[in-house]
Amino acid sequence: MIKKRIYFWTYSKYISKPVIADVILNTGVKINILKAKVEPQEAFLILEIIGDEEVVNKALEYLSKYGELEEIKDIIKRDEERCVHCGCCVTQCPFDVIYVSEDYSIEFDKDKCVGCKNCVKACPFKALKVLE
Amino acid sequence: MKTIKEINEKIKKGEAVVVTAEEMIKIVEEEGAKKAADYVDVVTTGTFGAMCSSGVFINFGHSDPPIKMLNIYLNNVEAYGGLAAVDTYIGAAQPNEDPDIDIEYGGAHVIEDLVRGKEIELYAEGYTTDCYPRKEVNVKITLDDVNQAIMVNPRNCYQAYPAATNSREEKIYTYMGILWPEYGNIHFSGAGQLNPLQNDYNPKTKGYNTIGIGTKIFLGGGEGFIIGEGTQHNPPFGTLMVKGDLKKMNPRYVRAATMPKYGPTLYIGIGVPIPVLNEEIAKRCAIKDEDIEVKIYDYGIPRRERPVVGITNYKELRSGKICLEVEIDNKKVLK
Repeated sequence: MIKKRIYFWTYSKYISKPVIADVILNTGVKINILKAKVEPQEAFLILEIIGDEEVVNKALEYLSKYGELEEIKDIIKRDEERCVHCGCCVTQCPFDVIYVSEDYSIEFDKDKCVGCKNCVKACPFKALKVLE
Repeated sequence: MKTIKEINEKIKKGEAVVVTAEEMIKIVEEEGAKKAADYVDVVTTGTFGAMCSSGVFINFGHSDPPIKMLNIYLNNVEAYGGLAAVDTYIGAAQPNEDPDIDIEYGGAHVIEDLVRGKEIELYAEGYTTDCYPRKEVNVKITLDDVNQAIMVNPRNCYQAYPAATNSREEKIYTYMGILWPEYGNIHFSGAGQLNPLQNDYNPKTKGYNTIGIGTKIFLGGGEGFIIGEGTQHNPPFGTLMVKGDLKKMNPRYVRAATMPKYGPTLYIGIGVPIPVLNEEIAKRCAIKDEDIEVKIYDYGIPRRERPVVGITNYKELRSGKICLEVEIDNKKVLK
C-alpha cells in the first residue's frame, strides 16, 4: 500500500466530466480529495492517491489523460530566521502536521502536509510558505 | 538563609549555583525545598511572547534650524508628538498610516528594524515658535543616530493569561490568533512554569518574594530593569513595567509580528533571576505547569466579561488536546 499526494490540473474541456469518479471506478484506487477549485480555464485539485503501487500508477496514468499532474514533495517551507516558534500555526492544521515538542519548539511532520495554507495565513511572522 | 549580598559575592567569584526554573522543579522534587535552598543560589525564569503594551522613547537630537515636532512618523507609522520638541514614543501596536500597508508594518516593525540597524525614514511636522522655527523635517535615521532609544513597556510579562476559544459559527481573528468555529481550537499564551512572576509569587501575601522596582533583568537581549508593577496588575495576574536600552538589544529577542486581521504587536524576550534566599522561595520556584490554573474564555462573545467555558492548566494546554464540555447541544469537543 502506498500513498502519493499530487496536484492535478484538469484540462478545461474535461471540467464537466466526473474524472475522479471514473479513475476510482476504473482502477479501484482510493482517492482523498484534499482541495478542489474550479475556474474558467481549469479545475485544480490536491489529491491523495492510496493503493497498491500498481493501482496507484494506473490511476496516475489515467489522470494524466485528463490533465496535468505533479507529485507533491515537501510543500511547506519554514523560514528558520523568521520563525520564533510562537505556536499560532499549531491548531490551524487539519492534518496534525504541526506539533509542539518537549523543548517548546514547533516541529513539522512535513510528509503529512497537503498544502492547505491554513498555517501560512495564521503566521504572525510570515515565516511559512507553501510552494505552488 | 542567604542574603542577596552573599549571592552576589558568589557570582563575582564564579561559585554561584544557577539553575533554570525547570531544573529547579526536579531538584525540589528529589531533594526537597530545604536542601535546594541550601545550595541553589539563583533560579532563572523567563518568557517570550506577544506584548502589545510595549514601545520606545526616542530622542532624535535637534535639526538646524530646530523644530518642535508635533506630527511624527517613522516609516509612516505615527509616533506620539505630545512630548518635548524632539522626544517621541513609538508604540508597538500602532498601524501604518498607509491604508494599503495598515497592520502589516506597524510600530513593532519600526522597533525591530531599529534594533536590526536598518535605516528608518523620519518625517515630522511642527508648528513654528520663536525658538523652533522649522516646519518640517524629513530624514533617514538609524538607531546609532538618535541620542536615546529607551524601551519602556507599560505592561509585559503577564503572570498567567486566560486561554481563548470561540463559540461562534464562523472563525474569528483575535489577538490570541485565529480561533475556529464552535470551539474548534484553543489558543493560550504564557510560559507557565517558566514565568518570572509565577515563580516569585507568594500566595499568602499576594505579593512577590524578591521581584521589585529596580530588579535587573534580561530585556530583549540586553540589560533591563523592572520599574514597577505594570498596567492591569492584579495578583495572581501580575504584570511588570520594564525599561531597557534599545541600542543594546538583540533582534533575536525583539520580534515584530502581525496578528492576522488584528494588528501589529511585539514579541519580547524577558528573563528574571530569582535569588533563592530561603526555603519558601525555593519551594515556589518549583511550581509546575499542572499547578497553574488557566481559565478558558469564549472570545466569540466580544464583551468585557467573556464567559468562562472551562478551567485547565498549562500542562494540559501544552499537551495539545483538551476535553471541553460545552453547552451548545451538550456536545464534547476535543482540542
